[in-house]
Amino acid sequence: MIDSSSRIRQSVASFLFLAAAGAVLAQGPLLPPTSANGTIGTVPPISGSGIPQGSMKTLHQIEPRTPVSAAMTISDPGSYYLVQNIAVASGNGIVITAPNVTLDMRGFTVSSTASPAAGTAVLIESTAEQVTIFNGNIRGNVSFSGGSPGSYSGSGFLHGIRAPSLNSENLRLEDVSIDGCLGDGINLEPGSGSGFGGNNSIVTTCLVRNVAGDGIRAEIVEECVVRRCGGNGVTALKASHCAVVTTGSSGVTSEGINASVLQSSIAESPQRGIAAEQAVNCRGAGVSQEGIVGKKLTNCDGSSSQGAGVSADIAVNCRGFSFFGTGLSAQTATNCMGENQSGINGRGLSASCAVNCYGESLSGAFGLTVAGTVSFSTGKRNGGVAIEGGNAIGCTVEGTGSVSVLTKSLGTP
Amino acid sequence: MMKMNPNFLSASIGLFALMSSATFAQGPLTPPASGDSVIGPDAALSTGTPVPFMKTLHEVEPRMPISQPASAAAITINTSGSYYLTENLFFLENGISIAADDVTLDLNGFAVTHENLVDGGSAIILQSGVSNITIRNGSIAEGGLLGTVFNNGISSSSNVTNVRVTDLHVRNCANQGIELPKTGGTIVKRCQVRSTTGTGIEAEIVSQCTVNEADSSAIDTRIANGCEVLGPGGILAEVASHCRSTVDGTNAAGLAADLVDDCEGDSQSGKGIAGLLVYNSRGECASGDIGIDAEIVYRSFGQAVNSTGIRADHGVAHSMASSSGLTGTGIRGQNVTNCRTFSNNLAAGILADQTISFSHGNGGSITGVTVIGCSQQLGAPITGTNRFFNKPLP
Repeated sequence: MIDSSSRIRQSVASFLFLAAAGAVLAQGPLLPPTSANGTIGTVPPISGSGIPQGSMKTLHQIEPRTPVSAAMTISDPGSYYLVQNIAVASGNGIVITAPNVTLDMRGFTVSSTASPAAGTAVLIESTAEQVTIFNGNIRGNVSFSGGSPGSYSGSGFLHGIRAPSLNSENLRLEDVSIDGCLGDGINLEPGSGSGFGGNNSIVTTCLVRNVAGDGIRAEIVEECVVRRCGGNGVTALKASHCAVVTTGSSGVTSEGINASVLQSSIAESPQRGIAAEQAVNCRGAGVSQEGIVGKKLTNCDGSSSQGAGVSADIAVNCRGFSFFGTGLSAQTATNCMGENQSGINGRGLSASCAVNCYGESLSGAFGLTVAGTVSFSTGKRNGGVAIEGGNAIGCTVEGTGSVSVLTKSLGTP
Repeated sequence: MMKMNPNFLSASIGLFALMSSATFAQGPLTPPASGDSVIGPDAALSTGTPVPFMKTLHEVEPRMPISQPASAAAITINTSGSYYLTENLFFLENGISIAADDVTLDLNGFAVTHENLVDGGSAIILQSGVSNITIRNGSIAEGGLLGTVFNNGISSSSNVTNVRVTDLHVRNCANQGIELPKTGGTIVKRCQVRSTTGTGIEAEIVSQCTVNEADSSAIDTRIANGCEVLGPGGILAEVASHCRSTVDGTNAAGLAADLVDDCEGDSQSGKGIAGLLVYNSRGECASGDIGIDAEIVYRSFGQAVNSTGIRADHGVAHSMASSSGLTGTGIRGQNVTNCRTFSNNLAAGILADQTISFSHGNGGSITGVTVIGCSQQLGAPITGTNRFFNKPLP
């Protein structure tokens, strides 16, 4: 005879067995269907009796990542995704304190109405590293109010995405748009100016607009646009294919792009357009400072009102224009051209050594000035000194200017 | 003491368990409260038993679906959010109109097509002033039944900002393929456009795109990177790098850009490359126009027939040019140094307004005000007011 307690134990055991069997079948076989089966798709699991079969997937298997539906702190490593727009009235949006986190914004927006503007839309804390954020928007109501230097006002976040600590290494940001912050747009590197903390950060295909501070700060910045930015537009160790327009802002430095290595980019700033160690195929426009300044510039075009259009140690195939300053200034200039509009110290092209160059001043001091040797080049300053300086070899004058050099040879007039 | 039927008890336990499981399988319909500010993936599955943190279907696909509208009428998105297509869509006139900020539209691999008796409308329209818009991953094409086409693939007002378009195919438009303002922070990347009467792609940055058979400009942009073009229209850019453009059947320039680096431009009867600063590039015209036309040229190759291989307002250096036909010139510049030309015997090899130095001509002539350290293999003698250290014709 079986007593009731034994039956209960049997019933519980039976249920646990069924539950266990269900749990096993819910996951399906670990092996994929054999090729002889011939069909892989949605038909086999749901075409029969309606009862889940061995190959059914759980919702967790379909979307194994963790949903995020509100402002919060991510404190565990893992893969997360937004399931809706997230709006806050104060403070931060999402704070990441764990390492090894991927946040897919999934096309949604993190926004703030904080007034005055405060907090950060996505804050990467010092305990977080190896973080990827992609595919979404950040929105505030900060806008450019005009003026030069520009002024910005409005509610929203102070910063868009920020990693203020040296400890946050290996950060990657892609396909994020930011509009309206009273501080920085994207700042993944602590420090200021061109000083970097070495966070191994990469930012690609991001758009930043209406930010009173810096636009983007990261080690590598590629294919990004920054417009209406009060501080520096893009600050990077390596940047390429970026377009930047900064407005300046009272009391802050506002360079268009500052990078060690820069390729095929355009920047405009009320201060300096571009500052780079090396730049290839870039255009910079400044007002109070240089259009583009660097150690080695190749195929670059710079213009400025007050400063030099192009200023380089080595300039190859570059063009510079300045209204009141020197069009192109270099230690060595090869196949370059510089033009100056006016100014008592304005020079078209000024160099220690210049080869195959052209310098012209419309109403400034000199067309082409060299401290050392200028060869196979042409200067132009109608009614003034076209070529001035040291040693001129095989040079010519265009227009009615004169030559004033220490030594000249090989046809130099 | 009441005795319980053991069979009833076991059935009750099982039923209760199943009901509990059914109740909690989808989890609550409301998201976790913001006060529950710490989350992690282990919360849902740490016990091996379904708990209230199981996902809802909305959590699995939280975006807003877009399906075929009744009567193929236009769809307007007027709320910020993330949207996706659930099927191919067809429209009689305009397709999807985006009238809100902060919108992501994922075509999800589907196509938007035009079905009507006449061409018209735009597949996707960005309304005035919208910003933070992303469109991605799908196709825009002519209709499969009647074959009529949209006027524009993607069209926009001039004041839209922060727009990103990626991974689209656009085919057969009566006007523009993808049209975004060049000053608003707009990027088009990894898109393919074919057969447009107007411009193929217009945006601030165009990267890794191909355009074939655009009757107007294939690409009109501030920065072109890694693009390839073939057809009547070429590439217009402020800065171009790693691009290739072949213009066929018109006199448009293959590549017209202020700054050119590592590019190739070919044109049937227009300039191969028209620029300001040309570096490390090749330009060729098949008939009657200039290979490379710029202010200064460095490390480049130009080729022309009955025209000039390389023409520069100022310096040409470390370059090479070829000109064939009776009236062509290899290189023409203000100052030319360290260059090499091949040209027809009756045409000019190197012609400089000022100085030619350390260059070599094969055919034609070398003529400048000052000629220094040059050599000539075939053609006319070297001429110039000042000549030094030159090697005469053999």
